[in-house]
Amino acid sequence: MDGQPETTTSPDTTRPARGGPAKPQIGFHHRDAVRLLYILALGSEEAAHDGRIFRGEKRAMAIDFLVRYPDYLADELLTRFETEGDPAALDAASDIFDADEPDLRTVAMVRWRRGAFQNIEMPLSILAAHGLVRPLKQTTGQRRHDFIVLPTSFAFIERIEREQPSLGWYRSRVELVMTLAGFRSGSDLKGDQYLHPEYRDARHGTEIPSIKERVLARLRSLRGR
Amino acid sequence: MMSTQATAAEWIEAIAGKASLPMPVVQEVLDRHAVEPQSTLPRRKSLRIRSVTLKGIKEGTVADGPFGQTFTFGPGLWAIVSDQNFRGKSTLLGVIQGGIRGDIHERVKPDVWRWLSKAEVVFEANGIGHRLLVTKEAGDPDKGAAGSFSREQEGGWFTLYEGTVGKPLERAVEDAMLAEFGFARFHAHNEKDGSHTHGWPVIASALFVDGPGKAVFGELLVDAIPLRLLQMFMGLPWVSTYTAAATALKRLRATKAERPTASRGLGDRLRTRLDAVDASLSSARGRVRPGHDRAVLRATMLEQDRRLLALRERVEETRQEAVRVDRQLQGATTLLLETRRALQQLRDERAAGVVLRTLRPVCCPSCDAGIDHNRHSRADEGSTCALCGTRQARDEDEDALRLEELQRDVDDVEVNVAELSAQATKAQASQRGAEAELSKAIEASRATEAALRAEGSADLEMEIRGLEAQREQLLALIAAEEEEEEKEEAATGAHDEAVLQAAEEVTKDLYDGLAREILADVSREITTLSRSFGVQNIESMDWGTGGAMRIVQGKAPTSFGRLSPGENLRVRIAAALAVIEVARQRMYGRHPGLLVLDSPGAQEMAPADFAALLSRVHEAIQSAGDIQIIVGARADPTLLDVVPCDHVTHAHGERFLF
Repeated sequence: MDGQPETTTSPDTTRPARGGPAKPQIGFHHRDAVRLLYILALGSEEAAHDGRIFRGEKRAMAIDFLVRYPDYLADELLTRFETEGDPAALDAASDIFDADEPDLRTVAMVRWRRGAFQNIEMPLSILAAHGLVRPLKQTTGQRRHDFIVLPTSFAFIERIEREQPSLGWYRSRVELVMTLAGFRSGSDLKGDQYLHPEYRDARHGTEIPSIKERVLARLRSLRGR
Repeated sequence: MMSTQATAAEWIEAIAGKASLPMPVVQEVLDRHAVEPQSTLPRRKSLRIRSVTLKGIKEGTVADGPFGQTFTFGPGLWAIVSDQNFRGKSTLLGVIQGGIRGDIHERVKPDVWRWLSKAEVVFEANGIGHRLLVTKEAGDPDKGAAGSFSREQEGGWFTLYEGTVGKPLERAVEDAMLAEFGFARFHAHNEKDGSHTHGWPVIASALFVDGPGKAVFGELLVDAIPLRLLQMFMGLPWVSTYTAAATALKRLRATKAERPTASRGLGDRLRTRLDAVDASLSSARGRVRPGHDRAVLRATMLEQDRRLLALRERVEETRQEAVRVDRQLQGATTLLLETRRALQQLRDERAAGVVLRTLRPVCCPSCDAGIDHNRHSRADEGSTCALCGTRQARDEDEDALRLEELQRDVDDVEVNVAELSAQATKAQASQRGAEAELSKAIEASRATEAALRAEGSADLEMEIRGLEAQREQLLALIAAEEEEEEKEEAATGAHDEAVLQAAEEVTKDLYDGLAREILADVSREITTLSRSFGVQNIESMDWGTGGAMRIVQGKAPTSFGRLSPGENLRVRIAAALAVIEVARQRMYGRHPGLLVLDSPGAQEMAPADFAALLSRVHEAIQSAGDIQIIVGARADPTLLDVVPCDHVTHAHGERFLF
């Protein structure tokens, strides 16, 4: 046991047989890489001397969770509407359901020891190999992983949106999530996610379940007021 | 989609409807007999042997002295072979079986048991490590060794049982494995043994094939165990529920039949009195010269009763149809949702792949070394990848084809959903229509009753009413007396038999259709595999829902019990693999994907034939990457060709495995 679960975004991934040649990895790694690129780029901040930096792998995973589960995101938006009276948050939550996103866009994550888990090594190595992102080497005693977002990333993102406009959804989604996540820490964000019993009580190693029906009911009751 | 996906609530409702009893009564009877609904299709399970460790000191052999060895295993085909017989193969396979069943001490020969100081089996159940550990003094022949059973947790072992080997240890292993695999102990009732339950040992025995046997699955032929095991491994929902209901019903009837007939003195006197009242009543009715209106009203009443009966049946039919269509609609809707999501994911992946592939890698993702321009130019010239040197092949067309396919699937399922949705609306409308018609008819019938009551009452009518009242009273007394007798006979409720019978029928209906489909799949797979394993002239093998396997061989019907020993063994292996394969194709089922084969005797199969059979087995499991098969056999070149060399533990020459 390596302490980590199988990931679920690559249903056909096969482990190489002992002693045999590695089989090609089939999955959605390109899509995962592009999603991670948007998260790292749009969640980055000015670094002291080296362009821009994204702080915290745990924070990246917490943001990724809200991108991958539109129903949990909608729930957060409704909470914002209730606490701050922001009508844009209510509209954004409605849009998520109008576009069937909880059905179409959910990319399930596995519940593991410290919350929603997805090994980001593969998408990260794609981004690194193409010179878009560079994981920052750990200095002694520091447990957090940060990522340098290289200037090529922003040029590449412009090209993505020019050549593959359908992927523009990821920009608007990450921007929406960032209005909630901002520069809060990964632990802080995960703390919010643990408030959902479906998330907290999911058995380790199983997929975190959808909360679509519950959120939809909440949205209807808020709209009906 | 499956029509077996009824919920527990619908199940109780159906039983209540069939037994014409209120739901709380039904629930109470089912609870009392421990008949529980089990309605979900199980996920696939896995059981893998990870390692076996044996330590101790040999005595009284040609190679006395200490030994200590760990044998490790992984997925795929593994072989334990020796050039000579009696080199420890069967001991090792016995320890594996003992490790999984918690009874190593029962599965090792007395001399080997005496030598051992430690026997440890580590296996994974659904990916979670489990360890059975037996420790004792080497040289001690006593069975009272220390045994422990632990589960892997946070990198260490969490002890589930610690004590001596024996029944409590076996029970601890059984409880953990039944819970892990979602198997339930199954109940059976036969005339010879009465009520009893079968558990993990019977289930586990089906994972071990050590030669021809009476049963296609496992070791026992009683209580339809092979069929039950098949159903359990296929993971049919409702099977445990069905067997629990059927067993409870059998037990109840057996108890009733044994009970001595109670004295029915009072009951008999009441019945004699009832006969007299009936005679007076029919004579009084014979004297009635009813008025015209009254006769018409009575005729109307009869007609209305008939109509009510027909309408009630119609309401039930339409309700069932509405439920059936609704279930199909739910299934199709789920499928549509999954297909649309898959389409979205593939679209994004394709778009991201297209734009990412236009970039050139600047460094190696494995070692971070930079890639210079020359390397890219050279790669471009040869149309190869600058990183791994693979010749570039455009697979976008394949993606496009897949996208088209998925889009077509979405279109098809959308049409299907629309059709089912229309059908559901129609079915609901006809249900409502039938219900409305029924309420109207009930009102009409009540009106007629009221009109009859309002008619003037002659003396004769009064006499008849009086006799009818007496009759009612007598019937009530007789019923009360019978109830009293019932109570004396059994403290249990009066509705048990009706409820259990309804539960048995309702549950059987639920899984029968699916069972037929799955058995047809399994039969087809067994036939194909048996042929490929060299069973001659097999035309068809057909597993009926009754449990018997009908075989047609060389144009003549035969049965499993009449196959030759070699054919019997081949079919047993084919059956085990067929169940695993069908479970894999259907994406559910509970066969843990482990099979342990001990070498058959030479009289049943020549070593070369066994190797050829294994070669077929190896081919058969190539497609399913997560199966583990462990084989013990005499070393044979053909066999060693089949098994990957790092999957073989080989005792060369005169040597022993441990």
